[in-house]
Amino acid sequence: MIASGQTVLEGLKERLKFSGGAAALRVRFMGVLAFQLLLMVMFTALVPRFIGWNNVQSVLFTAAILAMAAVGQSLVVLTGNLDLSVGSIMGLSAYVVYDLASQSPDLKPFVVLIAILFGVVLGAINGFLVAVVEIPSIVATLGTLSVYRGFVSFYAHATEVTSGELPRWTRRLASANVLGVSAYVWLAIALVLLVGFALRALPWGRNIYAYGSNPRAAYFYGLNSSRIVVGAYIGAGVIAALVGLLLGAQVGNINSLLASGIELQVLAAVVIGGVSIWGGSGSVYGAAVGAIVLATINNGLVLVGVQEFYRLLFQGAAIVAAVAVDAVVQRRVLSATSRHSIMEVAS
Amino acid sequence: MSNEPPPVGDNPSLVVPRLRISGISKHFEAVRALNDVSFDFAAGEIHALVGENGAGKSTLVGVITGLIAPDTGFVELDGKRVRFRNPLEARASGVTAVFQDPNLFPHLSVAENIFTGNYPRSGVFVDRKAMARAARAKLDDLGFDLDVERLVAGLTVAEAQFVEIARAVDTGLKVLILDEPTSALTPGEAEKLYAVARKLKSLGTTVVWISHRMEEVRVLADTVTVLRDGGHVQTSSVAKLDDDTMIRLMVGRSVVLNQVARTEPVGPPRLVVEHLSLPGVFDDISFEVAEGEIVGVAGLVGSGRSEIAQGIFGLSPQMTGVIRIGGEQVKPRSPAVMAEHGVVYLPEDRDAEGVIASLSIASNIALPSTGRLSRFGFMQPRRERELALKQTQALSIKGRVQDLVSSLSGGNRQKVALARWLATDPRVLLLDEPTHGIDVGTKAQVHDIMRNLARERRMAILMISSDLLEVIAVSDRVLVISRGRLTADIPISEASQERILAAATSAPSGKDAVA
Repeated sequence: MIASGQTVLEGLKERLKFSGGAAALRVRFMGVLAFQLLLMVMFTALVPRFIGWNNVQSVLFTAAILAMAAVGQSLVVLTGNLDLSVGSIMGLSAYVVYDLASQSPDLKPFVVLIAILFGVVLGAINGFLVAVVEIPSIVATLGTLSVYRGFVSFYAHATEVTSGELPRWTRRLASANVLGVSAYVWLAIALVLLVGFALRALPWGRNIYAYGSNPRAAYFYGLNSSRIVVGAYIGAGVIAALVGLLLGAQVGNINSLLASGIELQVLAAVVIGGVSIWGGSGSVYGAAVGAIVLATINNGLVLVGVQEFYRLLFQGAAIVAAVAVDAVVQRRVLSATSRHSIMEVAS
Repeated sequence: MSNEPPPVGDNPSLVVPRLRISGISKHFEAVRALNDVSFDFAAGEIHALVGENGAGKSTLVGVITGLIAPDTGFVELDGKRVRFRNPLEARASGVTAVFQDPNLFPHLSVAENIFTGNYPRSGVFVDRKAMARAARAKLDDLGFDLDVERLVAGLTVAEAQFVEIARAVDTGLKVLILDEPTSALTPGEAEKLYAVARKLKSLGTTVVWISHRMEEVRVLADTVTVLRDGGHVQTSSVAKLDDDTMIRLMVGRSVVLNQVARTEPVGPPRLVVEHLSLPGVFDDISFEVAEGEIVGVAGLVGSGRSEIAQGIFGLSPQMTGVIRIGGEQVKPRSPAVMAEHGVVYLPEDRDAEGVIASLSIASNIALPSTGRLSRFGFMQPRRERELALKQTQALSIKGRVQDLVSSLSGGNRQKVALARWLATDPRVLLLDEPTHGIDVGTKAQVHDIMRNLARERRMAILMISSDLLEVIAVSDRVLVISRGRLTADIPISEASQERILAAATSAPSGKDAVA
């Protein structure tokens, strides 16, 4: 019978569409890797010295800071939120912590602990505003971006922490090489692996994915939503504060504008790396690759000698393309499990 | 935890029911969703809950699982009064509901979905191996064959439902409520679910099975409870009720709605649709609506009724088939195209889709007519106000035109939504549950407005409604949709609630459009 033949066909199509959802999620990460390879081939063809060891080192060094910051940002983006204050947290932590250490040398061994403390507090404030006060994250962290930066300006009084005032080991770390690669690159790799493992193996991490994937289901499953969101922001704050120390040590003379504007680069890396802006999907590995992609674009296009305008154009196009792909993936995923209904009964 | 119901102290033959519903009432604004409902669920039975759309089944499930707080009455579990504040507390006490729409994490694996919130651990870490093992054991136990490492995003609706059930089934499970669990399943998948229900029953669990399918209730359930208009009608053993009696119990109603006999004959066909199909939703739908005619569309929720109207209004560009408006063939590319041809659609969920609550009555009414109300591209506030005044008077909308729609009652909001489209002088009205959730008085007003629009202004009206009395009172002809197919086209003189409901619950000949 024709009708039943048709339904069988439609059933088959339905199945393909559903498995398409899972497949789409899997290929997203591979897609970024493929894009990175494409970039490398392209730039090498245009400028052979792109693939030279010196230049690769330089790309990796640039990518390291960005990748670490992107790991922190990923935690927040996985919950379906944003943290625009990441640059301000980095700047605040670097300036204030190094300034305290230069004023009271007793504190020098404890700069990492102090930075972690700052990260916890600043991240918790963000998380509180988003999860408890329920301000949309883009607005809440736009506010704290200004407030945290304003605090550094106020605290700094237009002065600098000079490189001579920094704890000596931080300066040494910034210029250290291990196996021919900057120590920062190794630190970035370690951080990516550590956070990747924590997201996979700790209930904290699994809950971040679950909440981001379907907040309403998370409620029905008894997860504490605000605790999850605050936890993600604290994680992001701590990482941003520590990355601030590293960036400060690399720059040397720290003023109140350190890392300002970096949030857009960080978000771009996260998004290009396949962490879905709608939450629940993606990985810190992807975000790290996203940082490398950005560093590659910036470095390669400078080598090719194009104008700044084209560099920005290319970077912008990569971001939009990445999110467009995510939108398709998200639609496929959501077609499998629709999100409406029960709350209508409840209301 | 023991699953045996505790016997009553001095008389061991009298058994305390597993779940007792006692005097539950619940009102939503003017609507009485549940009215003094009392009955028992025994331990270790499959108990079917049947009733028309709006009979109160979903509200009752909401009350039992803590989603909805009742106005009066209480629920007893194993003889003890319980009042769950949310589905979690209910679950902790062994009462779980699985709803039609899967409530899962699409980006996570099957195993993670089953154990989220309750991960097996080793130390501080999630023990992924133990989790996969336990998930596999659970699924095997229930006879579901699913790879626990697969992402839920890749599952079919049936498989997603299996995951939810696997999650619900736990050692302490006492009551499992399944809300129309087989509506999206193939016969083979439904069979699997029947087996699970029987197995749970043999373990002493009470399975509450909400269903619209008579044949399913008959083969599966031990006991059936009929709800109607928020009231309890009857609870008895399935064997004691034949299908006709069950349908009669579901529809027999006391409320009377005015039926006004029509005087003028209908005009030529205004809306003609031929072979409309949307894969997986509805299939080969053909009918016409004449000028000045009101055609009622009955069918169960989820049968594809609303989707057909939405398709005609251009909301489903993938739909195939032919639509003619007044003889001219029109491609339903978008709502804008259809509105241009004088077709308008009033959605069921008026708060989300029908009105813009944060704007004034006047702004809402003027919205589709801004072009007409403008001069040199600027809106003329005076003309906007005049139009709004005219429409609010015509439909007797309460409130001043500058009032915000959010301050209005449901019935008045519906009238604003209607006024908005009437201001564009449409030829075809598609109304989706036009009186859903509004009080009886306003309901009668809306009915009068519809009759007036059809008979005086010669509009062709297609009215989707779950209220069979309304369908019979207002329509000139009744179409019945069952599982995506048109199963009956009944002239009003022959229409009865029984006949409509029988067509709506019948399996259409051939395969279902909704597989």
